Amino acid sequence: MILQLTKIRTKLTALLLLSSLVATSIASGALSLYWVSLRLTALGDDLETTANALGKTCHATIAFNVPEETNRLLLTLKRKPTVVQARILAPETQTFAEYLRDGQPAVDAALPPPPYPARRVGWNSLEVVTEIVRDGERIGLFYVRDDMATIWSSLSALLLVIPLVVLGALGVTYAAMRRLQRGMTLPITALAETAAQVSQGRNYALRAEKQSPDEIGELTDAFNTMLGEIEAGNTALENYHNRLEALVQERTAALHQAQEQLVQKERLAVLGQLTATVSHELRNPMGSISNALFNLQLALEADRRDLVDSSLSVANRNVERCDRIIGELLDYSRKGKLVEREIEVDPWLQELLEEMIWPAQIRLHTDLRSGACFHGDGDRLRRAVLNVIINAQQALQDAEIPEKTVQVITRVVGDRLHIVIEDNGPGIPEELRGRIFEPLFSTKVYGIGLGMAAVEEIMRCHDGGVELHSPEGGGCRFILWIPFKTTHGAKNAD
Amino acid sequence: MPTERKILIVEDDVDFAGTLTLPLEMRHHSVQIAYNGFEAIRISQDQAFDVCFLDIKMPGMTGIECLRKIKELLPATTRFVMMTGFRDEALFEEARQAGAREILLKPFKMAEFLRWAEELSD
Repeated sequence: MILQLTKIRTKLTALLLLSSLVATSIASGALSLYWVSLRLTALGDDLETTANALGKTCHATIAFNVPEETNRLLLTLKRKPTVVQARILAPETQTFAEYLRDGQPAVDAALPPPPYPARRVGWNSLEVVTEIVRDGERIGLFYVRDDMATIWSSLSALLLVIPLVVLGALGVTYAAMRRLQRGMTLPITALAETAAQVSQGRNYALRAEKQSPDEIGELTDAFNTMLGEIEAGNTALENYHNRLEALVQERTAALHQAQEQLVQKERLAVLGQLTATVSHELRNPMGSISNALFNLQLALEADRRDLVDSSLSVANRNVERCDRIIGELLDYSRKGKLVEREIEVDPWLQELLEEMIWPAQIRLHTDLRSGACFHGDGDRLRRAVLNVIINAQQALQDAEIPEKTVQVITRVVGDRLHIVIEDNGPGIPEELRGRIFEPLFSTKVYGIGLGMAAVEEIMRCHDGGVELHSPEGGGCRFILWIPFKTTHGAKNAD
Repeated sequence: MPTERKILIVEDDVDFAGTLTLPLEMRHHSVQIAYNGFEAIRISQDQAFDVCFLDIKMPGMTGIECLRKIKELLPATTRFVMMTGFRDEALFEEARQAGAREILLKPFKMAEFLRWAEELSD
């Protein structure tokens, strides 16, 4: 019922039927009341007439004080079956004669108050009192009571008819309304349907059809105007959006181009710097080789075997230097895909350390007990570890300390594998620590400054990194770490 | 045989400095090597040289900085010759401003080096 009431047609129908019901009910009630009052007046008049006539008839019997005869005269009231009781009071308060309809108990009610004639209406009684006047003198009072049976029976018949009349009126109203309301609800439902279509399809080009020139028509016009405004606003917004999009794309493209140019420029600058550094670094050993060849000739001419040997060894050493520089350059510039495999870090590192050449004065301590496995490019990681160890060896070479040591440790810290390489050399001055991984940064006589940059690049390719710790007291600790997310680490507690 | 000369070589590359020393010594010149600028200054405080060869790129102190300092210590007749693997005109100009007579580009011909070592001061 409540659900059905959500439709405007149902609501309208319910409202009109209710109004109709109330209106016909009120009208029927009012009419019934009016009818009852008319009937009461008529009945009262009739009783008064009867009382006056009977009172006159009883003049003689009252005058001669013959109550029996008066009672007999009152029996004529039997012709009026609704009269329940009649009484002649003479003098004023004493009952002189009385009539009671068959089976009725005598009611000794107080009389309606004067002046007379007087009437009193109760739920089921109409009482009338008239004066009995003889020769202008009141000789008694005539009291008569009617049970209004005729009125009640007619009223009940009427009350049976009224609902039928109301029902009929409702039927007629409903039929008429069905016809009339179509004209009212159709424009509203059409408007509602259009609104629903607009909101579902976001199609603001739709318009509701105006079906009548009334308020609903005005509403339709206002709705259509609103749709027009939304459509115009939408189009403007869309145009603005498109313009903005185009502008953003244009700017982005310009930015990309600028960025590419910048990258290109930077790349060229780096390349320029790299070329300058590498060519300088190559020219030194090449100069040595060239000089050694000149000296070799001198030595041969002078037949100095010792000088021949020393010149040849200088030449050889410097050819190796050239080769190392080229190797360093290649390591750094190698950007190819990682060739990954499963590596057991401890034996892998052990083998690597054993293959290396260790100067006699440097002692190697190892603690390779991580038990970890990881996924990585063995060749490139080998280069990273080698570069750090060579760096440590070179740092120790010139240091004046009694016992030179390099420590290599593997361990699992959280979700990372750490390879720790530590030396007890002079350490790295604080002002240089930030630059140690910069490409082309070198503090050495020999070197193009790509070794540590290559280490950082290799670790970065493995999603890891390299950390430098160099305490004030000297020594240097590099931690090469790889996260276990790219490894299948068989973890092992420290 | 040219006159015996006193020569200072300032060069951080041990092999390069060594290969320059041999031919000079075989030609009876007196050669001193300084492996960095500080060492060159120290040596120049005690000794005089006819010719100074300086490498430009050295850690700690560049050859040009070193030249400016030892020029004050050495006789005005001393000749300064730079040696470098860089090809940088601005750097060369700076060296000339500082007092370098010539820039030798590594790797250079030994004959040229010897010519500069043995050429008499003008």
